[in-house]
Amino acid sequence: MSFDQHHLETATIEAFALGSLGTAELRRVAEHLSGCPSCSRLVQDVPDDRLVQLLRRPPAAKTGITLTA
Amino acid sequence: MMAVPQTSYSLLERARDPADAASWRKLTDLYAPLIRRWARRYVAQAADADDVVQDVLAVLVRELPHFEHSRNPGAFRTWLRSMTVNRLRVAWRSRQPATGGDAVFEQLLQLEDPSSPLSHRWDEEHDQHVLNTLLDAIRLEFQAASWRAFELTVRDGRNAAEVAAELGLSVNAVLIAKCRILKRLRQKAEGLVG
Repeated sequence: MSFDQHHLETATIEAFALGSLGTAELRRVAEHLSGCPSCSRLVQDVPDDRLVQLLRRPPAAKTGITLTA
Repeated sequence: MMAVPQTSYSLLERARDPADAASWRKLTDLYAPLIRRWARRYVAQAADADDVVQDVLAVLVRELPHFEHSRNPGAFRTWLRSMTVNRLRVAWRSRQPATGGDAVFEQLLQLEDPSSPLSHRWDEEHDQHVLNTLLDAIRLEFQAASWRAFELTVRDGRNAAEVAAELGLSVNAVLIAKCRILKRLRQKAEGLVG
């Protein structure tokens, strides 16, 4: 079976993108993504959920400079 | 077969165990600055705000083992807001200032309504405070490159391909880093952020 004929379910892709998968499932998906550009692109297109939106810095704060403690 | 109890990754769940003093300290360290910030909006003196913080934490330590966390996201946050509002009301009544009391009491009333815009603002402030504090706590669990990938994709909203090129990583490495760190953060924040 080629990777082109075996893709991840939408719910799995979304859960992976948002960090909601269990550890074993995460490993399985990561392994699949390494050989499936199609699923990898879908992961990148998953919209943010509320938690990710809360973490987003306002545009003025995105300096690209990491401040050390 | 007897089920093996799993150690909860959630700070809230571990702090509910009276024997877990370390988790309780982490919970109070997490919340004291936030409660103080809220309190300072309504009480002028820093010492009075500290009293509100201590009062809220005293109730928390007494009641948390009995706190029944419903499946409703944000239940703990609502409970915390309610306790803080009650203590602020007590603080204001004991001082009986000449002016400003009506406006303050009006705001405290709004904060008792979970659907009010003011409550929504407190909730968002709470969630951001908790998430940012927990992020600082888990940072050293990850390699620097993974953390940077997470910052650029999640915090700055940049796309994975662009970040991968900048950091010299594969796109999948960036996606996996983002996934792992979000997963760890969700585990730590479970029950605290709705």
